[in-house]
Amino acid sequence: MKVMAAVKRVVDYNVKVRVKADGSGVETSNVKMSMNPFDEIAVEAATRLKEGGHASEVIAVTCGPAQSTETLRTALAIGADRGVLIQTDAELQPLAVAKLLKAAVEREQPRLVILGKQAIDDDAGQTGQLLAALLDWPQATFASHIEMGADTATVTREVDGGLEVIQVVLPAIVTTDLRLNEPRYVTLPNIMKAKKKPIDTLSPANLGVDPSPRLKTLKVVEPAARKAGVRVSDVAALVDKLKNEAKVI
Amino acid sequence: MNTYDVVVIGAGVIGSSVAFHLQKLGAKSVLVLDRATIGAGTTSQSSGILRTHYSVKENVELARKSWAVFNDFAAYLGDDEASCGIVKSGYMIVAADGDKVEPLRASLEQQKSQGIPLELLSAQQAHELMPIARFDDAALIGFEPEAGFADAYLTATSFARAARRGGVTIRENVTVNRLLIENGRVRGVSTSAGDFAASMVVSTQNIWTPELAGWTGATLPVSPERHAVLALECEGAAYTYTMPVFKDLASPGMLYCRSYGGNQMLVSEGTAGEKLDTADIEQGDISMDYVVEVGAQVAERFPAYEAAGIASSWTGVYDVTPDWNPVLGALPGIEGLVVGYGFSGHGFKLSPTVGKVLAQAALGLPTDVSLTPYSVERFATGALLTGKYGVGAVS
Repeated sequence: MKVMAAVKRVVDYNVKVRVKADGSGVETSNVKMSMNPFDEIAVEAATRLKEGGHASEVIAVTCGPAQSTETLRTALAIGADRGVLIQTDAELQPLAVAKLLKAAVEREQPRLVILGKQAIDDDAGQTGQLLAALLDWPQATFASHIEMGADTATVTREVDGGLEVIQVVLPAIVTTDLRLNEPRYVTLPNIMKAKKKPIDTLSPANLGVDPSPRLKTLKVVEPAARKAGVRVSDVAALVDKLKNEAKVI
Repeated sequence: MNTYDVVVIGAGVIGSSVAFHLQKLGAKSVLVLDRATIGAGTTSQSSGILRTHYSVKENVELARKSWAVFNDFAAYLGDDEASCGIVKSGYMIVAADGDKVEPLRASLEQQKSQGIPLELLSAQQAHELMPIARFDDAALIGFEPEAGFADAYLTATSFARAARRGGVTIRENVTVNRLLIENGRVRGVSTSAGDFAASMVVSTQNIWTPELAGWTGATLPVSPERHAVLALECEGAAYTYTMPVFKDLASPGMLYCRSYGGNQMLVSEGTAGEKLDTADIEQGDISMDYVVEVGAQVAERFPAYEAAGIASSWTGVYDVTPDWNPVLGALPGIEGLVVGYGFSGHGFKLSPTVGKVLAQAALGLPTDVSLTPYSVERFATGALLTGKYGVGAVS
């Protein structure tokens, strides 16, 4: 069975995100970019399924500009067999990504698609669920454990109250939570091998998908800076401020 | 307007050291201003290597005096709890046959004459100290036992804490907008938190030094350069804390390496980096191709690292001058201004002594070492401090 892992190129988690001067978005030029950490977990999970004999091939898919090839190469270095770049410079929102991934799924016919539960740039947390709905496949989100059966996957989910175990019939969608695995380091030889692995480049037009945004970004602003605190002279002054100024007691 | 004896601009490891030494030397009221927070700029990006190996003898002296401070840090700061995070692993430097052998030999001779404990090792001896490396190409191997690495951020915050304890005021998140100058004399600084009067200002602005050039009209050659650092992990070939810091003059990038976390290798190229248009400490992109390029050089010296994993990577910015050495001391034509900038990626190991001599210069005291060779005028006169290894932070 083929397994597909969806990956996204994002601003690295060590970068202090800055808003563009014109308020149209965040600065992404000349800053460190890397694979969304939840997607690394997805690629690792797919690779382990192959290593465990549950998958015949792992395909990494990404949507975005030409530089996203670098992210695919990371996926190939972790263990994916080949990559698919759906190349576009357009702003991509979760619904557009889900539609593009649906088209890729129809081309590749995987039995399982693994995605990060969210991307650390927009934190939308929607793509996996939207893709499941568009394909009308079962979904197991926020996975911390996957057990493969013949035609099923038994998935432990991280839910508010603790853990929930569900079984989904394949083909299915899984989104990864932090505890699913700890991705391996990419090694120098695997980076070299990744260079030789094939990457197909497609476009939204090839796939018959219109990726135009449905939502319009009005303005992106920095969060308001926290105001400095004040020192109060004694407990009475503190109580007075809490009561009359902060009005919390 | 509040008045201070001395205002220091920048609370990196150099500025914090200046502030500590100012109060230690008796300055009564000292104000330090930082655009962000203590040690959060280029200091936090330092690889922290401590060595006295230099081809420029003046640098050897600054590094030797500084090592003595790092090696006895808590006592020097008068604070039992102070730590610079020192790991005394020694420093090994290797050259293969070629144009680096004679400069290395000359530098080692120079160091010896300055009283630095130093050994020349055979390939066999080197291998015993550094069992993960191969030395079959080594034409000359130097080993400095009194060396290692430390934590630049911890050092900066320790200097700052000791300075505050000595009465220094350090204000974070205050941007200096310009110097107040009257008739060629510094009168203070104008900042985002108002004006402060002072007859002496010490600028330790690192990559932000071009701002000072703008305020004073002085020509201060410096440009920001971004350098990438990798942390590699290799099963069966851990780079432990007992293994020395390593400098490989035989590699195209003149790599430097050290233990990172007791099992990983921190590695970076010691040559020119990526020139930036503006002063920006943000993390830059590191391409896979670059990782492979550095990894291949590492594997030449450390064969097991051919299969190493990339544990993490980051970038740091150097304030590089034309000869890869700092400018220290007064600026000609402006009274009441002392500068320390242009450390070109090797300022941390010099920071205790540089802080002291800049403080001495600011207070009109004789300096422990002569600042004449480090004068900004050398860029005009041509009396450069260029090291024997060409461009790069080994100088």
